[in-house]
Amino acid sequence: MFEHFFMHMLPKKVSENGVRFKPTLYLGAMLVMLFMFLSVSGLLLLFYYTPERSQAFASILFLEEKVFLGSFFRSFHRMSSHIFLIVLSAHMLRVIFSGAYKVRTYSWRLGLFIFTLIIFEAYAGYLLPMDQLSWWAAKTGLELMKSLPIGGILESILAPDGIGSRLTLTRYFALHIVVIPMFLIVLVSVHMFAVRRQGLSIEGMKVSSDKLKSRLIILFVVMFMSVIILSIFIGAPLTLEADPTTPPNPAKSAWFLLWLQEIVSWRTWYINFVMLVYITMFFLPELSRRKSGFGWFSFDDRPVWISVLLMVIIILVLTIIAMFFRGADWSFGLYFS
Amino acid sequence: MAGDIGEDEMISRRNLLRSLIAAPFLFLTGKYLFPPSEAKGVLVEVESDKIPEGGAMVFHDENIILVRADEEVIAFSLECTHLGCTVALNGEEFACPCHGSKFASDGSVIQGPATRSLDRYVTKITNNKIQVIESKKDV
Repeated sequence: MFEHFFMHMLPKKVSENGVRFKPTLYLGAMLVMLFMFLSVSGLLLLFYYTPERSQAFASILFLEEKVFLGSFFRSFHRMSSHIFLIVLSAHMLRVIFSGAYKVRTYSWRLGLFIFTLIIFEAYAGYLLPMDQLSWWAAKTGLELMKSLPIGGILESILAPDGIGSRLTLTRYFALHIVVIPMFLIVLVSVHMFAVRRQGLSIEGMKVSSDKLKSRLIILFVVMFMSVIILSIFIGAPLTLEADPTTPPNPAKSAWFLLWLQEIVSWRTWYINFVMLVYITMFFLPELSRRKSGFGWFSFDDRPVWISVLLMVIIILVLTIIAMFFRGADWSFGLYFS
Repeated sequence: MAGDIGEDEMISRRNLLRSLIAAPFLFLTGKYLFPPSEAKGVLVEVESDKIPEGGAMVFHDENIILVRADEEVIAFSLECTHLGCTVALNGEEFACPCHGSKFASDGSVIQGPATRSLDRYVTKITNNKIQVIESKKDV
């Protein structure tokens, strides 16, 4: 019964295009698998983590140094989350570049909402180890949020007594391990249900799902092994215990927010451009004049995919600048550390 | 057709009713999420002669620096006026490690992205003691 329950996530018959690699690149399936990795490793970390400001860092240190496989599971969780964010971006780009966003507008908008929640999820998790790196990344991230139009209200709900203080740590913890994941599970289920209900954005002949099943199992094994190997070789960093009085210089946010930090370091209100682009994304299906259905980089949708491609390049360049070319007091130079 | 429109209206009326019922619950839960703030009154108290002429004293936990210049003691907030990072005294100026703002020793902006001088707290001197009051000065 157990096995049947999980195997019935897939219908008996699926579109042949769901089996083929090229239309979807299997990115959505990869995200589901990574979500499983994150849930399981997260649950394991819960056995040792203490969400209390004077104990949090010590509990991570204990996990890292004393617990069998402790540092591995922490590294596995971190690595899964990094890969999750990268695959998530790839999934969104796939949906834009293949025109699926125009065919399945409901899934596109719901997906964007899920994307936003996941960014929050990743950000909230950053604070939990309470070392210098995480404290200041959470701090600069909160400052980014504050620069948004409703940032003040968000700040007083998320961090009423400031980053790392009693209430704030409790809230980040609750958000990271229960509140956001709970919403994610519901919303992602709807997101996946929409695919079953409406079909893929590219219709095709119905074939048995057996082939897809075996391919997904192979994909699962490959993903699992790659994350294990990466987490063995690239450990999760742990710096000194958080010290709110001495910021590291420069103080940098989480890597996926660095491009935003770079933008607000020019002028705070530039962040409104980013918000504008974000809101535009919700109306992308209406703004696009695409006539053709599914198809990679289709000619009549050039304005959309060229501007999105440009946006990706800009984000990458800004991230690289903030990561490698910003030193003490955020001065510009060559800083490979 | 007419039936369809009626149905739509029914649905929107039902939705309106639902939102009206949900609103007070959401409002009350929303209020629950904002904890009461603790008023502190006096943030820092220090003997006046502990701060030498041209010198400064930093209170890390409160994010306050007391600077003596021309007989007068000024209490600056170390919170950057750009986005709230903690600025550090670096020789004669304050520098922000998050976005690179710089402030002069009198709190004025030397380099952006900050556009506003560092905040000053109200101070009170009684019996050779300086108290920093939890209210910001208009400069």
